[in-house]
Amino acid sequence: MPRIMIVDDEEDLRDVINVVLRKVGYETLTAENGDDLFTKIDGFHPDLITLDIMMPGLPIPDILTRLRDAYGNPPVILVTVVRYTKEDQQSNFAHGNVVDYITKPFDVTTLIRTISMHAPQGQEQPMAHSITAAA
Amino acid sequence: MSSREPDIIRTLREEERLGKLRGHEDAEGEDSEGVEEPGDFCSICCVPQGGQTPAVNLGDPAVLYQTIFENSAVAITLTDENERLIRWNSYAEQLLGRSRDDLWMQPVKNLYPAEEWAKIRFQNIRQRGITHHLETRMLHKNRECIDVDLSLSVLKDQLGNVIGSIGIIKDVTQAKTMEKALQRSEETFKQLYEKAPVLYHTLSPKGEITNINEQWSHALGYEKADVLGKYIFDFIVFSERDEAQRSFQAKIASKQQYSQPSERTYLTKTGEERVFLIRDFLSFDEYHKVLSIQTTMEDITDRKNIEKTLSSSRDELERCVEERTAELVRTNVRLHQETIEHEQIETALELTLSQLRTTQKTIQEQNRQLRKLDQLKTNFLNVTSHELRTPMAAIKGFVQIMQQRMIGEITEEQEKGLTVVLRNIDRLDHLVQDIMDISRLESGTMTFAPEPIAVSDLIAGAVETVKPAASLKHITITADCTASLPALLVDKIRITQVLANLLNNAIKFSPERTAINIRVKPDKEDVLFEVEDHGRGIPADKLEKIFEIFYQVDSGLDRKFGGTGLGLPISRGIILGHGGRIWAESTVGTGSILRFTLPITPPQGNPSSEKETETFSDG
Repeated sequence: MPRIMIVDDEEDLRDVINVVLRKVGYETLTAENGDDLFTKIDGFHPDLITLDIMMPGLPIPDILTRLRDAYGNPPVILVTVVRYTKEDQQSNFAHGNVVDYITKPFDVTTLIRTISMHAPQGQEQPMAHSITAAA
Repeated sequence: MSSREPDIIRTLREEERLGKLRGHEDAEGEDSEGVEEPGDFCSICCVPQGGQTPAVNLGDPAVLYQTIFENSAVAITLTDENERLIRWNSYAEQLLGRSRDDLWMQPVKNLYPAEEWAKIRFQNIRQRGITHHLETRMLHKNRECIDVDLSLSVLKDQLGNVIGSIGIIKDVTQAKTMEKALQRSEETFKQLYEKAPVLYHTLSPKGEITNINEQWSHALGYEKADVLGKYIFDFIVFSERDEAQRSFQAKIASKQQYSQPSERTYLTKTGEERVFLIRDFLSFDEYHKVLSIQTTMEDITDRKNIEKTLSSSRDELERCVEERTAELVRTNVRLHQETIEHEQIETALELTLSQLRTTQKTIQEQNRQLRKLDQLKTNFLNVTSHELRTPMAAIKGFVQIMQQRMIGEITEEQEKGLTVVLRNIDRLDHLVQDIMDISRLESGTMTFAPEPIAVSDLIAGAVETVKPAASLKHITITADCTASLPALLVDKIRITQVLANLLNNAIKFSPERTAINIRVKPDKEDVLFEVEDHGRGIPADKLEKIFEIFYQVDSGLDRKFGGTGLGLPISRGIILGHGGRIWAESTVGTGSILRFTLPITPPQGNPSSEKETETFSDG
């Protein structure tokens, strides 16, 4: 079962993503910023990270660099309000392994489709799954 | 001549006239005898016995005649009837260079060159004893000829027989020589006068022409015969005539032999005017009365013409020099002024430059602040966008979670309510999106990310976006882009947004169950997009206004038809940003066509000049 780490300073949005991903069968862990991410990441070993692009604390490029250098450069999906082209990804996020982005406000279906594209699941999770607030 | 005849000759003539030459017989007698001592001339001379000769007692006539004979300043010779010399005086010996022995009883013809003697004989015969005079030549002993005036008288007896002759001989060699010299001199003078390269004329004291030379004739074209006796003034040009006459009279009156040369213009026979330098020379008689005026005339016409030409050339040259000098002065003044102006300009420029530098600094500072402000603005927009959308995303997410029953079952009414919430969230999201776009266009911070994209993909994307809205009104959307079109280098999302805007607009104003047609075709350097609806149309005076921000809001259309009314202004901004054009055509009551173009080759560096970036800063 792929493990997704959700990093967002907005608790409500964190919850939306967390609920949806857990519902569709992912194992998730949430963090409220970069520092929190690196506190929790060691015991979790995420297959994919969703990263809000505008958070207080550690700047995104630093987070990406550190992920690359110390944590095996896991794939990252950016959650943003502004779309990015491939060129932008190459120039601005060259230091990390940014694989895609989700623009807010997103459709739940879009979220699920994007995540499963980069972290395919072995099997579907049962629908009835309790919501666990990981924060 | 006769007045100068020696008295003895006159006496002898008298004797001859009276036929009383007493010594004749004696002479003949002596002649026949062949011997007579010379020198006793008186023996053959007779003293007149008639009363016609005044009785003057001069002593012995023989002595008298002898004295006269001997002392005469002419040579006298006497011959006998055989033309042999029998008596002569000492002057004759002297003249002929002969002694008494050389002469005594010599034929007189020996004293003459043969041809002269022939002439004398001829004269003698022709005149038959009359005394006659002739110029002839005699032979000196040294065989040189002597020019003489010969007065020859034939002596006859009472019967008319020639008994001898008397020759009175005057040496005229000197006179002849002088005469010849004079002739030569005159000839020379005449030659000089005639052939001189200057013009000569001779005038009477009244001014009548008495002579001209060849040059005069040649120069003025008149024959000598034409001008002799005429007044010289008639040949002078009219304008100078009076003055010439006055001057001439003054010259005569002054009796100055020479006078100052003067210039005078003469008319030639052909009417040509020639200028001469005139020099007069007055000749006087022994009473110092003016005899004639000799004038030399030097033709100076050519010189005058050259002088005139030279003078005119000099004047021209001077004028040129003056003009050139004046021009140089003007140029100098102008240059000076220009220098001053240049200096002033330079000073002004320096001042301006300094001001410009200051201004540049100010502008640089302002630019820096503006850039900072721009950055702030962009940041603000990004942050605002993020801050607005994040809660919407949370709301939308949980509504969808609930709607999809991820967190438990809901009732139909609950689902209906959630649908309303969802629709309004989307509406709000569009509004936020539009406001953000307008803000970016207004602030110039909207940027484009061009990428090659097929026209059909653009249309498909836009149609997909508006499909739900079209379905609600049962509107059919058709697309005609069969023409082969190149891929366009544009911002895919933004152009799709434009097409979606136009389609949404068309849907909004179309009645239900109508069609909306999309057409795309090449148009010269561009690709032309058309979105046609069959709505109520747009009045002509509003065709431009619909692209103005908030027109739709202002006009109240928005409240009836929904939307912010920002779609068309945003579309215009995006199309202009891509180097295209956008406009509307409409027939009220029939429908509208909104058109825009996109260049096949986009303008260099325009759409992609700045990347839209989201700052990675803490919100």
